[in-house]
Amino acid sequence: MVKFIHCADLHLDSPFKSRSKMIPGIFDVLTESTYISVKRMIDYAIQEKVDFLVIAGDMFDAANRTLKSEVFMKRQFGRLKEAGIFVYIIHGNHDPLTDGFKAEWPDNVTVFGDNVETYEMVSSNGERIFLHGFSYFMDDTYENRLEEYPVNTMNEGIHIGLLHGTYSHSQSIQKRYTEFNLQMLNEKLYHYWALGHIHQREELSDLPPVHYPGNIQGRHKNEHGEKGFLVVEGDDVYLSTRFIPVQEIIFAEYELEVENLSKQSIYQAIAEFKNRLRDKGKHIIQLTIIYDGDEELTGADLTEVIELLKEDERDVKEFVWIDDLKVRYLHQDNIALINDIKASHSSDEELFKEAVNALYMDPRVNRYLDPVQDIDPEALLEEGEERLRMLMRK
Amino acid sequence: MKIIGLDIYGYGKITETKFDTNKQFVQLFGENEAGKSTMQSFIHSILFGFPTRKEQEPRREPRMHNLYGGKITVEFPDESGTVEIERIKGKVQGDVKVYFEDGTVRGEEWLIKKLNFIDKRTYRSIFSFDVLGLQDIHKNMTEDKLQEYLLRAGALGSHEYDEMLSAIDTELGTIYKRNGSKPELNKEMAEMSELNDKIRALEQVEERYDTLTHERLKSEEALNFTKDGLHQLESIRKQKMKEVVYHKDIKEWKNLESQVNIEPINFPEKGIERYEKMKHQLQQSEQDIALRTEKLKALEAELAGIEKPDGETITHLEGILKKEPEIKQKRMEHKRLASEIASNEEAIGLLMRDIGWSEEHHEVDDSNIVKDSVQSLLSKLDEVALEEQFLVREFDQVKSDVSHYDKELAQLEAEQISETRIRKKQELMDKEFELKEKEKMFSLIEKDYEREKRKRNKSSRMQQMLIIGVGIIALLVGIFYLAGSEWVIGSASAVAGALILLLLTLNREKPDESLKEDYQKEVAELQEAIETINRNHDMEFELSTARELKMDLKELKAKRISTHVRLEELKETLSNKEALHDSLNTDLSKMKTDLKIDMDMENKSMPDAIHTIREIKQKRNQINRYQVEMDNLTRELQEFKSSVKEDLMHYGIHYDDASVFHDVKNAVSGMHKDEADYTRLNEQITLLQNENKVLQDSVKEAQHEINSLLDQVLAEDEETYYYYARKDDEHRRNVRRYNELDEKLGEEHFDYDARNALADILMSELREEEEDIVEQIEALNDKVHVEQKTLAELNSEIAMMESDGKLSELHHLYEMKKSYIQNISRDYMSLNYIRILIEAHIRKIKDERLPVVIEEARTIFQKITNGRYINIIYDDDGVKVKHDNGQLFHPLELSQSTKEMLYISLRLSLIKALKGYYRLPLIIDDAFVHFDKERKKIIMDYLRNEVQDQVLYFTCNLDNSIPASQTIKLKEKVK
Repeated sequence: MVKFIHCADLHLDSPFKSRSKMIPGIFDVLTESTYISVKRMIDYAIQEKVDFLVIAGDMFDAANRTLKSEVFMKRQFGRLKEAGIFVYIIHGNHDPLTDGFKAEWPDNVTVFGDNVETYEMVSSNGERIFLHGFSYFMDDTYENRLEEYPVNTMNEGIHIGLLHGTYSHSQSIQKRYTEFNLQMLNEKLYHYWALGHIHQREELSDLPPVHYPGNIQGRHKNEHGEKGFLVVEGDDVYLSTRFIPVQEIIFAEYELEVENLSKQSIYQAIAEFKNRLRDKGKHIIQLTIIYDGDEELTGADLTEVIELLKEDERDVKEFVWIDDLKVRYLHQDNIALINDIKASHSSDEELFKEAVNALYMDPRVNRYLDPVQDIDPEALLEEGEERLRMLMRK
Repeated sequence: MKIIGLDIYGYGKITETKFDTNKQFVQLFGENEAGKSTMQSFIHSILFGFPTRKEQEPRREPRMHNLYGGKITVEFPDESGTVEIERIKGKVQGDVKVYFEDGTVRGEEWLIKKLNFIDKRTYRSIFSFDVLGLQDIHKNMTEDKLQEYLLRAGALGSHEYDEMLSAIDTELGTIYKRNGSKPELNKEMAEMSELNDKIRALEQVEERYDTLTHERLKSEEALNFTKDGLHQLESIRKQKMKEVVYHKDIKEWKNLESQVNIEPINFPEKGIERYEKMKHQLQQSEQDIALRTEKLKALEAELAGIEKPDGETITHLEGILKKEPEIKQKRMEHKRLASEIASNEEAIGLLMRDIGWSEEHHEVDDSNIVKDSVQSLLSKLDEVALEEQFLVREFDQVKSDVSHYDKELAQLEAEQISETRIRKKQELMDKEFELKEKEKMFSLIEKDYEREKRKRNKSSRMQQMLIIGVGIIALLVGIFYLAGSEWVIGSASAVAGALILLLLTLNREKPDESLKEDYQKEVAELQEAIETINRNHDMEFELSTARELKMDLKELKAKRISTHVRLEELKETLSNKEALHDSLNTDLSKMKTDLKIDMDMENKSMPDAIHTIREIKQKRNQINRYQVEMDNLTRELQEFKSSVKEDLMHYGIHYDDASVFHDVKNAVSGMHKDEADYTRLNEQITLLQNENKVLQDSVKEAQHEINSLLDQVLAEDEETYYYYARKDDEHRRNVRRYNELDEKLGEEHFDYDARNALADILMSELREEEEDIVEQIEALNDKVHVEQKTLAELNSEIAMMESDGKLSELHHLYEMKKSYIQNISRDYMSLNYIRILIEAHIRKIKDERLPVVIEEARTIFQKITNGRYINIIYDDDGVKVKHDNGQLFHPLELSQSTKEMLYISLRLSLIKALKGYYRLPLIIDDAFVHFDKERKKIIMDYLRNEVQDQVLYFTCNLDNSIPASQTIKLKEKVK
């Protein structure tokens, strides 16, 4: 019987993305949230006396790989050492071997090199466990090293593959490093594949178990729901997994139907909704108000409601922060401007370029913007229409 | 699209009405209030939704009907078959269902798409004409408005474009200006660059971390090296200090070593103690012997004074003593028996007095038979006495009863009623009964008579009438015949009639009343008789009471006779019982004589007396038995006295009954004491003699021991022996001290060479060496301090960097701000995109569509004005038209109808231009009131022939030129 923790994409101290400007209290919780989540995981490992811990890449975040995070990890690994728990780390695209301060880890920590390596350990019950994996040497000079993983021909011990990469069927638009398919993994005849890189928890296969544990704390609206790690338990016949949530803040999207569109009743409805949510912990949510009627909420009123709701969360411990509040009218007279304009002009790329270049041609601004090719003109048009509608309600 | 039928379920005042409009041109005629506007509104509502609040149009929900809405059947050019659009009450704008011929049903979305997203307002402003709209063409049909309509085609909003653009511009201005500083994005950017600078600075600081950790490593190594040196010196110094401390011991050790090496004399182990002990023992023993000899002499003298008693005498005396309890027991028994006898004699005396005996009569029979017969006699006597008492009481009772009956009898005889009075009373009652019966009968007869009389009267009247009728008829017939000169028959008939009438008047009789009077007389007679009887006798009693009194008298007489008989019987029984009583008493007296007891004793006490006699006999027997026992005891005691008395005389003891045993006991105990003393003294003497022998042996032994000790060290006397003893002790102490030091120094790791070496060195030399070492240590300590300080500084700097999350926080802030900037940038770009698209759109329309529309309008205008106007021009001042004479006119300068023509031309050309987007029916609401006949005909012809879309023409002036098949008259249809 072996028991270990499989986690990935800790993105320790990773900066968060939000639409609105956070108030200081919430900002502080945000910056500490990845640390708290990791600490909870380490607490769990010590309490449950697991044999070892596997981190399948992206322990740190390229955007904020600071001393603070390394020192923190060093302390946590120190705690594991005291409890006699080993740690196996591969580095991913966000924390390649070449980057960072290269802290001296305690000797219970094993870091895989940039070539595929195999380490052997013996569990508390005396089983032999073989761990195979490699770390990314540099972010943009990776190569697919899946071929180099040894095939398990020994028929002895438990074999675990550590891999930071992209499943070929994955819909994720993240950078598709080390793309693989299940057949490639199955050929290795391992007992478990500990994957990393995709932030959404997913079981790719049950036999052998192939898992993405997802990241340990959501960082923006697209990483919603509970976040945590997997506890893997079993023997060379079967390893079962269990998800343990440890996130400090839940990111989520919700819709809320309202009967009345006056700003008081909207505020009331949202405040009640928030209080229901509050029991389940800290939240940062995108909220869409759904309204079926012919009243309209002016932009000024909406802004007022948003400000009130924000003010409510000041100094609240279990906050529910509404990052974005939209109103969707089930009955709205269409300014379906788009249809006509789209028909005649949306294919005109010059117009789109002209629109975005207003900012992209300003060197002070464009450095902060995503590449221009990432913008979907159609989506931009829809957003514009939505905003225009809001403006016209004034 | 063509509307081929309307089905209004309920809309305004129109309910459940259908219209067939399947024509290209339909004239809908109705007078005022006929519902034309309602119908127009209905069409708008079904197609685009019921009016909402902000439209400022009535919703027209029917007041008298609960269905709201209706159905329009239409034909689309690109759909096969008809399509039914139904809108009924539901959500605000109503619920829509679109039914197809093939059975499919679609929703509102399909409809909106099918109508190409046109909204109600746009539809109205393009496809509806009314008289108001035709006015003020210069205002309603400016180039901008035209442009606006064109723009709306497909763009569908209800908002004005420039309104949108200005709103967008304002919003954009608040987000970003290229060279501004106030807009939000500009502000954020300024903050961002500050943040960037801070991050740069902090990052540089963190880069120093590597150098610092390296330095720390080096510094740690140096420190460890110095610490090692220090440690070594420390241990050397410790060694030196130890040497100083132990220097004295080492010197002593050296001295002892040489002394210990000399061979010592062989002195016996614990020699002195042993010698002194022996000497002391010797003296003690000699003293003891002297003491014991002295004591022995004293004891022998004492022994000579004691005589030993004879054993046989003691045994004999002790035999006498043993008999003491037995004799005492016997004496007490003797005394007890004497007192028993005395008490029994006394009891017998008492009992005899109880039964009145002066002496004992032992021959009297006191058996149980006598006792039982006495008891049965006594019980019979009691029984007879009780019966006697009862009989006497009964006798008295009966006697008193007899006297009571006599008294009652006398009273009853006085109360009796006489026989004559009773007989009269009987008579009276019979008479009264008869009277009552007669009266009843009389009233019945009277009633029957009355009824009979009425009946008889009725029938006789009927008979009379009949006879009168026949009489009159006969009379009349007679007269008739007489008038006809039939004399015979006539007179006969008349005579018959007259005879009948005559007979009838004669036949009337009186009824009979005699029976009634007889009865009345009889009743009166009876009443009189009753009253006579009442007057002559006292009739104030009841017959039953008289009878009861008689019966009571008879009964009482019988009772008195039976009681007398009983009284006699009782007297006889009583005399019998008294005789029995006397015979019983005689029997009892005889018994008393037999028992020799007093005759005066009560009969009841006799059984007790028999008991007492029995008791006296028992007591006497007991006394006799005790007497025999007592004689035996007296004899035995006498025997004992005679035997002992002589024996005691031999031993000089005088016999006395009371003190004999005490004296014997004293003599025996004196003899025992003498015997014990003798034995004890003998034993003590033997013991002392033995002790003396042992002591003399030990003296001898001690002397021998002392001699052997002195011989061992070859000492001649005690002095020499003590000298050798001191020598030996000193040697032993030296050896012990030497061993102690040796062990101590060994434990401190001073080996033999080191000890020798150190023994040769002086103390002052050692101290000097130690001081040197201390100096060196101090120097090294200082060095360690300096190095530790450097390391601590490095460590604190590293720790500060490690604990300082400032950079991390700034990164968070940076990313947060960055995403915020991205968000508002996106807002900006999206709005900007819309703005650019709108502008492009406007440009395009202006450039491409407008000239086409104006050219088309010109053609239409020229046509419907019969070529009087040849051009329409838009310039900076607005619209102008050109007359065929070349003059330009502003719309205000035109006649009203021409102006309206111009408006219609523009609208129709607009519709034509938009036909790519919309194909919808035109709704014209009495727009042509200002037209003369000719113009109206032209425009009607144009609408009917040239316009490709369906036209619904609502009017209150029926145009007769339009065929009836194309006309719907609303008047009759609306209630």
